[in-house]
Amino acid sequence: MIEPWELLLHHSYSGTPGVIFDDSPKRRNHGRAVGLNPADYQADGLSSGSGAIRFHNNGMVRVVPSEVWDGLSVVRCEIVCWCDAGGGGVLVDGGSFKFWLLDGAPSFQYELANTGSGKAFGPVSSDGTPPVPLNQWVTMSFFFDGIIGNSSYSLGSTPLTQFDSGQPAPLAATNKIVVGNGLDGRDPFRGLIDDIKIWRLDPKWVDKTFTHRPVDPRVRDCWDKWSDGLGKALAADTECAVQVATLIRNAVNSLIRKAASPATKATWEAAVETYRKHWEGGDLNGVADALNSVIAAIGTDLQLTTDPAIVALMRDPCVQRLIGHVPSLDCDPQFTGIWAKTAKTAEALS
Amino acid sequence: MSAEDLAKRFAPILFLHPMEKFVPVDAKRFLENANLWLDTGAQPDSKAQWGVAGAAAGTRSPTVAAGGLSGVKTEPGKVIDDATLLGTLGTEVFLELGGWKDASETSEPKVTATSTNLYVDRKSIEDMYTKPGVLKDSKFRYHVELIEGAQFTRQLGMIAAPDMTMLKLPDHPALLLFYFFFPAHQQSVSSSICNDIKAKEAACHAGDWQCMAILLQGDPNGDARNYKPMFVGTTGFVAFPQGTTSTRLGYGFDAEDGYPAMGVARWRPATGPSASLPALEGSSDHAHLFVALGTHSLYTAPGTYDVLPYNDGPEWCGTFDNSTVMPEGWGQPDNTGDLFKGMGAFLAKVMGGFLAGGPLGEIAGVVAAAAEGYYPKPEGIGVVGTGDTPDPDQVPTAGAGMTIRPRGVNVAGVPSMLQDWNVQRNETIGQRHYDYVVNRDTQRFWPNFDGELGYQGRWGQRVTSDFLPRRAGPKFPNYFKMFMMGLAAGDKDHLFDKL
Repeated sequence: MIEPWELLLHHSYSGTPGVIFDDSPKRRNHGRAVGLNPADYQADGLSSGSGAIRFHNNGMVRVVPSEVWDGLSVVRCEIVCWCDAGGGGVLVDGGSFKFWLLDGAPSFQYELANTGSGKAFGPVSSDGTPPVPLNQWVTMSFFFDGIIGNSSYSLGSTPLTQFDSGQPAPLAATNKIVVGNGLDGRDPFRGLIDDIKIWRLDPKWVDKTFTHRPVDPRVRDCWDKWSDGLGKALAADTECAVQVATLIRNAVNSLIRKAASPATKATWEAAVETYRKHWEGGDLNGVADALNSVIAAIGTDLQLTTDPAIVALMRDPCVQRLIGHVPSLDCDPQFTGIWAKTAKTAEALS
Repeated sequence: MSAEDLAKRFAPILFLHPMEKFVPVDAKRFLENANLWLDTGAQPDSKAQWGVAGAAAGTRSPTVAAGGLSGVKTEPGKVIDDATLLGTLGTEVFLELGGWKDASETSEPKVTATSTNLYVDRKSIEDMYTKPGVLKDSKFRYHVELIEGAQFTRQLGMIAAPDMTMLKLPDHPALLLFYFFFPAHQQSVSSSICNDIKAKEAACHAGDWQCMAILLQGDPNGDARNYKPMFVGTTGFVAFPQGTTSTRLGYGFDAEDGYPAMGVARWRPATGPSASLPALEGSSDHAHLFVALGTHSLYTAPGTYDVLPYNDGPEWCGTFDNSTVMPEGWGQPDNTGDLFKGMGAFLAKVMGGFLAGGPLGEIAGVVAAAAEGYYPKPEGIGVVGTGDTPDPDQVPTAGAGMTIRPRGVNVAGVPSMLQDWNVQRNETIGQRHYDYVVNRDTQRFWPNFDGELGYQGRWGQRVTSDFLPRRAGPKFPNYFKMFMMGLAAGDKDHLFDKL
């Protein structure tokens, strides 16, 4: 299994006070302290020496990313913090996403790339007990899924609640992030933050998985030639290239959304696990079997032959036009064998 | 304080591998003997826009031919940072020495309609430094620079984030930087399982900068004897002695691709994994540095070191430079928000499905793509590494190969293959002058600290099919920033005593 998450930002607030270092692999999101005093830095946080910052008034850690955070289709954030009595204030504000507490209850606000927006409010206990415990270290996280169209909170490893946005879309691009306050500095988090991590779904994760298949030199050469040919075909007809990429992404996302529904989720996830195991082991017969099983079992539920996004892809002439200019994949018979076997199963649906 | 005085005190002793083909050379002499190419193409690894059009169709010639460049304004030739060489914004410039070779390793000294210009011809570079002449005479050199006082403060302030001015640095901080320029770099991937040219050449390039930096507590009276070494940084990659996984260094990365790194440690701490490192020669301050074979990474102890994999790829024995079958220019390099990023596997499956099974095969392709694109929830991820792994760094023991030492320094236990550093002040050869002490005002081949003037180009040729780039000559890194980032990283991880 390839790691699907790309860590974009990691601040641990340890070391010399005021030196806010980004420990993510690319290290492109270091922070600058604004309105914080030496006394606001604590050497110890959740553990000895882990460091923490107490936020107040207009104090914040401002991050100016070295590149715009764009295409955040799925975002995940984890924060180790200590909420003072009252339990309020903004933990992180990225412009297109904001995670804050109100009376100990988590809230999440988002702005979507398609101009949609929304707010999700966490549970407020009827007996007045805040869902997020106060005056102790806790690990909170939020998860925004722009493909499925929902968001969720967790406290430690316990899901607090999940919300359906009903608007599957990635977050709007952002180029500024503030930790411990709102972007305008008017809503400080009341408490301490020891550690914050923000991940996105690695846009290259799928491709990394694809190439994580053991192959021999002949097959490597086959895909090298295919890639060269694909480049020429895409360049020769960029309009078609964009059309095909858009249609494929729409079809795949539509299928993923349907597969994640309660009726099909368990069967789908089991099939995906089997599929990946065989793919990474280089057993493409096993991959074909896994696909056949899932198509036969839930293909109708997934509306494989009627889903508008899939139908649009099937009817579009661009795929055929591009294929006409791309080298054959006959040099990877295991790969082409998958489709010969699975097409028959798909045929039964129609 | 002069860099020269401190260089005399701190110049390191380099231990090379017995198989090593390249040694540190004078960078100015390299550029004077190199061709300079302007690269005006949107895709810098496409030879179509290198230099100027030649007489025959498809041929390209250097913008300035070898011998026509100077590193100092007052010397013969076009000065290397001449504004007329830079062209429009976004234009790239590279130096080329020794030409290229194709996938069968046949030499390609020129750019023609049929040349592939796939890889650097390192053998040719090696030969140029072996035969008698000005290049051979420029071997065993280093360049040294001292950054202190107002310049140090200015450089620190130019780092936008994190706020380095908050670091508790030594009084009167001074950074002494020894620059080592090797004419070529060899780094292969997964050699134990791959046996083809793509894996062998995966990260080989012309021009290879390495650096040792020493952070000193300065002396307001400017007496070199009173400067006190506090931290040391050496360049290479994030690496671990084979069989271990823990690091003892704080790492700062070069900006270009975030892979070459400077590892920073306290100077000879009394305890811990870095205890008494770097080793010094006798009672002197000349540090022992061990140079990895081919990559020239600098280590303070010999051994075999596993090198951290690249951030992304290469894959399949160098078949693809990063983890995708997408062709160059489509979702690559890592431009965010690109419709085509991560699309390779989807295209392969949908198009493959259509080819083999028509529209119904296409549906199966979509199902397969969705299976691949269905991400697990964050909890319980079991990560398996992917991509080709860089070959381990082979770091020699003292005296196993050539030893380069400051003149007059006896290296205990190393009786043979000794070579003195061949560094001089104000050396004159014909109308050209050479000085191992860096002066960024007069020596125009260093990038100015402002990031605009001075030579900002590549120290080695571009090659084709290299969009990342991994096989192009590097730009001169900002070692000051790399050192400070390494210092901050180590401080964050409590690798040092309190600063």
